[in-house]
Amino acid sequence: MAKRTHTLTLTNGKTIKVHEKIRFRPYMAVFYVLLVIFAAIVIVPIWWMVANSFETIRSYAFPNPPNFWPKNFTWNNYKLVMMNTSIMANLKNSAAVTGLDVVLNLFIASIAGFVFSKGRFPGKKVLLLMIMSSMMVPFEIKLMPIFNIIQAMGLNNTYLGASLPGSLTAAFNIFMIKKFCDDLPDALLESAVVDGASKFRTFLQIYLPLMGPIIATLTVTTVMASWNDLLWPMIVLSKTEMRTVQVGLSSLTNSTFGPHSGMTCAASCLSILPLAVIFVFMQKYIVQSVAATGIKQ
Amino acid sequence: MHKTVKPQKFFQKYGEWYVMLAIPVLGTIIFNIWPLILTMIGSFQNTAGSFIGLVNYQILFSDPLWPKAVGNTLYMGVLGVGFSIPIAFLMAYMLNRVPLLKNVFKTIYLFPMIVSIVAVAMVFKFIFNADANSPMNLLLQKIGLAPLGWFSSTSTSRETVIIMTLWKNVGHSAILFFAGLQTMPTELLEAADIDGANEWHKLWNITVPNMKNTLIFVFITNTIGALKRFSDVYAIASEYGEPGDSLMTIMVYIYRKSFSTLFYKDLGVASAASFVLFLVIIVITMVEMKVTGETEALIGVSRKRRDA
Repeated sequence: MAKRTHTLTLTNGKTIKVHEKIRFRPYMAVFYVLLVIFAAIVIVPIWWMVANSFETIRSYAFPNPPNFWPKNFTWNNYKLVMMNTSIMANLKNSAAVTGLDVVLNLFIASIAGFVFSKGRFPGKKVLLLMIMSSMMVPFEIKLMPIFNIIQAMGLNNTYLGASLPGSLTAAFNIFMIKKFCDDLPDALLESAVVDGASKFRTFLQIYLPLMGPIIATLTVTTVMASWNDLLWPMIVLSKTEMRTVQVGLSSLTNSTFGPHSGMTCAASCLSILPLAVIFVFMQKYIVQSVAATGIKQ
Repeated sequence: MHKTVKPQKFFQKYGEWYVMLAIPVLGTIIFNIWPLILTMIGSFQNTAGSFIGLVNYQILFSDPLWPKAVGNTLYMGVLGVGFSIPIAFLMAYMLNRVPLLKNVFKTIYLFPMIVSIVAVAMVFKFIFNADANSPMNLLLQKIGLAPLGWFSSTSTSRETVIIMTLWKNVGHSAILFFAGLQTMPTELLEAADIDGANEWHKLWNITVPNMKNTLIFVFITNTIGALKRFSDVYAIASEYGEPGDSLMTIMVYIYRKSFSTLFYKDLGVASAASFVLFLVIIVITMVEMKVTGETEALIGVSRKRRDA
């Protein structure tokens, strides 16, 4: 009989281990079979892609029937794709845009979230409603005007131009941080102000360090959304040398006379690699972030 | 108290709050309110910038491509949402009812979220190739069915895109449902156990009503996402919407009319189409607020989202 171990902490600080006997019921067998089938459906395509990125392929077609283990292992696809396409430059651009997005977005959102939670000033509700209005207007329907504005600022084909429209209207992140701040005590602000500290310094030195969990959560979701964005980077970073990895990969896989199939697999694997590394090391955290925010990428 | 506050005092007291909000407020004006107004104005203007009333809307509604784009968007939306919610709910329900390996399954189901739609499309174009020997067609032939055209046939391209998008997104909805299930009080189910209720009754009469808010939340976000469908069809058919306009959606239509280098551009019509899409999404958002009471949450009378 299987056992599940729980570690409990008692009020006196001691920890004890409790072994719970798990009673298997017939329905669980059915559930496990179905869960494994779902898992297989998820894993097989990714597995196939990784396997073929290491396979020696000399044609535009993939080996068929599909192989799930490289028969002639090679690093050549990676070497070729790095030498012959701009995938490495694309990756660098994506990293720059994502990094800038996270920093700008979360810095602005944490200040605004703090002000809306702890500040008491006339017009607070109106300003909050105004900022939250961004949540109701989809980015997609403002594409052309936003592009014109960015162009008028001279920011098209710059990382800043790619990042600003999103990170200055991050209503959702502001909302999440405000909600988190609502649970932090007001007394910290009051005593700091009495001591003569400015509100901004109080935010920076007292409240910001307490916001760790929510900032980490929103960093995860912002990185994923930013890295995988296709439409806006495609429009604003139109120069070939400014393309992000999604745009570069899209032009690679959509072109009729593209590179051979091993190379497209290798390029796809490279585009996933940075997020995959983060995912593997922070898997538990990512699951929690998704559950907590419900954000759609 | 009774005297009006002097400007100096006012700024001394509140000024710092306003300064700290300057960037997001300006950002919202420049990148939300102003572009929205521009889209609205643009829908009443011609390319030269003079007002032409509702002509753009007339052109839009008489363009034979527009009803196709709307039809495809709605068809794929209904199909996508219709399949993703029951499947995701089933996955979450099963995850919640098994004792071991929950985290392993959750991690696996969430993994497609990090794979970009472009890479997914590359893989699915191979698996669902129209060739009679492609993996999916071989599978069909093995169970005695005729091979299909998948992405390359007008009668199956939309469904195949939905299969691809389900593969990528269903785990995400499942994790949201799972989080909702975990906040559900276990006493209810235990009481039902004692009363001898079967699994089916427990699911319909206890779990589903308790999950109402999560269900509505996932339903609405999926619906709005479906109305804005762009990346997945673009990754398969780029801006051509082929085969035979079957992958032409509202957003691909707007993109083509605004940014295309291959097709006839018309910014006025693109603005009109954007504005129509905006009105539809706003109505859906309003309905969501009415049903779930999120209005309070939005205007900041902090009311926590019960689940999700």
